[in-house]
Amino acid sequence: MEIDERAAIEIASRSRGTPRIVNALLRRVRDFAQVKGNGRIDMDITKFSLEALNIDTHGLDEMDNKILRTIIDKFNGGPVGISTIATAVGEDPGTIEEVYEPFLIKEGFIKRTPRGREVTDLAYKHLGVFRANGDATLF
Amino acid sequence: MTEPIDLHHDSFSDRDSEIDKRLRPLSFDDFKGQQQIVENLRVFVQAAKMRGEALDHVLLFGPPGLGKTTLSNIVANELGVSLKLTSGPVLDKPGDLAGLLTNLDERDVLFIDEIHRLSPIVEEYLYSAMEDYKIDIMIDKGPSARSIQLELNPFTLVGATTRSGLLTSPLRAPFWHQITFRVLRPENINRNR
Repeated sequence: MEIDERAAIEIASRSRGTPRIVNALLRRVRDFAQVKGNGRIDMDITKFSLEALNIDTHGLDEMDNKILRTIIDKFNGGPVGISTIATAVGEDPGTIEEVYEPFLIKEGFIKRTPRGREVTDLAYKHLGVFRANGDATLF
Repeated sequence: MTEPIDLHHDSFSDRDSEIDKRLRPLSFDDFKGQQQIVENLRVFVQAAKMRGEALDHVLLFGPPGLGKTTLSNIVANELGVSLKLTSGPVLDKPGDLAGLLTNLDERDVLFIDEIHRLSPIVEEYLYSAMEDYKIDIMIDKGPSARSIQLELNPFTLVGATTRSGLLTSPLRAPFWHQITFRVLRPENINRNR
């Protein structure tokens, strides 16, 4: 099967810098191209597949985004404890801490503070949410 | 439906089979909820069939009761292969796993429920079986102990777990499909039936 260079770059750029993820995404895009496309991996089918797989431009999946959105919408951006986040998104705390959080911290979407997890400006920007300035409303 | 059902008797009436089919959906069309997951799997299954390959290994995460077992039944059925079911805590010896794996036909689906509860030794065997379709087993003990390598038919492992955090990362790695089930929300439930 052939692949366009732009499509290849698109898949690679959403793979969190991990070759295994590139391979996993490429396999899935190949499936979509074979069944829904014309047997060639172009930009259209790549976008369609990544959309269906819920992988966004930073390589974040549905759960990563749900975690960020929950902290922003329900907890005003944090700080909030890990077990509260876990309950709010319906996962267990161990999974959040070991599976999802490391990448979010590494990419600078979340930071760990002694009082709990807090989202960063980058997370607001990523989700396109305007940050209400908490400090200004205090006085 | 007051008469007892004779499970060893083959002559179910049409009505019985109809009820049975409703209770255990066997096609993607009959599975409710998780629309995106089902639509994606439909594509992946079809692509694997077109290539005549075994489907890549699938890991299903999610709270109990959302249909992980049902979906694996459907996947096997849609692939047109047979399904063998087992669960993590039951497979406590590598020999058990070897027995299961060597009995799989080409492209068959092996479903392991509660996969996070596999013993570490069985897990080790499972990695190599999943990645290379080969399994090394030790036979005999002491000085005459030796290892033999068995070739396996290409197969699809479907693992299900409610606690994805408990899965070790080497076990997670060979699963190309990692699918998370979501609790259904009222607005997503299809009412037009």
